[in-house]
Amino acid sequence: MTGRGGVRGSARAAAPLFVRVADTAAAAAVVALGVAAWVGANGFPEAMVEGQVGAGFWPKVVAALMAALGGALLLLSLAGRIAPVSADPANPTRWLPLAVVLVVLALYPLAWSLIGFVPATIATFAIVGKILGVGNWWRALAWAALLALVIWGLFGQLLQVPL
Amino acid sequence: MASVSVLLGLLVGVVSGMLVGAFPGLTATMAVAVASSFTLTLDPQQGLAVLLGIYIAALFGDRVPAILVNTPGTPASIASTFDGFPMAQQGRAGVALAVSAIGSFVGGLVGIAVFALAAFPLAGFASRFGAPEFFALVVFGLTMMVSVSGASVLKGLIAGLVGLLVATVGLDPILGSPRYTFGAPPLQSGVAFIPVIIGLFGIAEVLDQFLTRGWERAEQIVSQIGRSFPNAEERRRMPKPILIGSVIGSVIGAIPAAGGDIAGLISWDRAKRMSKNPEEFGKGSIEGLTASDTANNAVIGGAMTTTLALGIPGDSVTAVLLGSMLIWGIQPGPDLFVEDPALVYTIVGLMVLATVLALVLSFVRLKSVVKLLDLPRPLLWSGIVLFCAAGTFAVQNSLFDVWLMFGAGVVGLAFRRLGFPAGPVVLGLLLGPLAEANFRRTLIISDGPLDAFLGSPIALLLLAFSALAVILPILRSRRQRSDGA
Repeated sequence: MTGRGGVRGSARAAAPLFVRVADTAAAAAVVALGVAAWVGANGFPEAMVEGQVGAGFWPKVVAALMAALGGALLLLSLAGRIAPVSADPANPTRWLPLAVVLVVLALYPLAWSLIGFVPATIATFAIVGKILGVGNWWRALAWAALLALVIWGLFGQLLQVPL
Repeated sequence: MASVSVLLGLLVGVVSGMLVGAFPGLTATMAVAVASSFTLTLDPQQGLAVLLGIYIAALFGDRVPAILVNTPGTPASIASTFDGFPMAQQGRAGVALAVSAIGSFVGGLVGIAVFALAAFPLAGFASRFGAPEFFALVVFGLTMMVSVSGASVLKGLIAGLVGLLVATVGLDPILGSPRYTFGAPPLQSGVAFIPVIIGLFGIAEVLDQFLTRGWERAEQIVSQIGRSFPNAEERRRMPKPILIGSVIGSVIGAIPAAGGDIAGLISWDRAKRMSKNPEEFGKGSIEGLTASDTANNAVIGGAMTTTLALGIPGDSVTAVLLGSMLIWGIQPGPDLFVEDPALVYTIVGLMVLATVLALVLSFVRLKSVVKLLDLPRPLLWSGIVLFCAAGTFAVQNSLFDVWLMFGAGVVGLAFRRLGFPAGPVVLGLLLGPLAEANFRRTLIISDGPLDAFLGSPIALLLLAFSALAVILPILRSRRQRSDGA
């Protein structure tokens, strides 16, 4: 493909739809973040001394630049002028297991605070290990227990970290 | 400096670094970030010994998988695979490992010598910097990192701005008013640096590997080591590439964000052009392997020079080191060389000792290391995640930090998938307060920012370099596009 899209246009067209949509959505998210940061900074106090700037000045500078560059990225992305990322392709069967891993890890600190480090770690990392592919449930449990013990010994006992 | 605890810390760091470097998927940045969390409880000298030991030894250990498995242990050893693995396939794995260790040793020492000689004069020069110059320096550091990150310049700049924005979270440094804290007490003191970097480089790496890699063991590990030392003919071919690698590595290390990977590649290429046997490169050339491995260790000195003398990290590992120093109350920059020059000499000494120790350990029998390379990835992944969580908690005994780390890990994964580099985020987070403070100071002392920057040749020069760092890659890619069209 030639013309305004050029080589990058053909590279973009060749990328899966999901990647192209994600790329454009990311650019839009950057613009939204910049705008939100600007709006948030409007509420920060002004300077109390003449000649100085208020608490919102620097965040606004950064937010404005972010919104501007995000806008440029969005326009280029929509026009097909910027190629999406060339990361290693993801295995599509791994997205759901990954989402489950992230949910379990998000709950881990809560479990830690409720039932203690060792039980929470064994339970969490048995599940995480099973999903990541450690093996069957017994193997995942054994590996989680070993990890919990090693970390408890190293951090809790040797380094005196109050796990 | 030579206390037993410091030497023990150095030994722990070196051994850990060798192991980390030997494992593909474990990077020096990740290891130093996790280690920094629990070394914060140590005396600064002991903590520095551990972190420097990891940093230096990881760049020795990374040659093992590069040579035996054709997989770089860290990005810095990419060029080592070009000739290291072919040498191993030819039954010369032992020679390759020895040559690499010797090149790394010499390159490391040259880099340290450059650091020892250049850091003080550079700090003296930088002591004349005022607010405009320091602000321009931060902009230069950020744009250089974007320029060499290899990603889209636009995405790199956005990543840097994300880091700068996150750095504003907390209390305004002058007015003390909360910014973006959403009423959460843990955010009053700002976003902690260590959990973010562990998340971005540790958790994100594991999650990305899970998404993209298989669960199988390494396909082919060369386990026959063969002769373990180069013969006279092979040794005769080493001095020239060592010289090439030393010079290139030292220079590149001084450029913010340009690390061992770039130095190794450039050095390999230069050695090939200057060799009498260029046809051997890529097929098991001792010169190629020596040049690349010398360079990727020589960068350490240059990176430490800019980090300590200017307060601008030379690469992602020194960014973490800088963050740890700040927490210990050590402020890198020109003032450090005036207020505590002994610490700088201590750091030089620790780096020399670490380099010597790493060389000695490099010649230890490798069969057990080869067995470790065979460890299934899922076991490694879950272990790394737990280690990261425990290390993050150890920083401030805060479970909020653990959540922050996992959040940064998710963001880091999204960044990888979408082509946004993580390095500028870290630099923005680290240097954001410095940038803001100096920008605000510039506004106070001048009639306007334009006057302040126009009146400073150094600031103008740095800003000009920054602009070039952004514009040149864009022009280059446009030219490539039009050539390809």
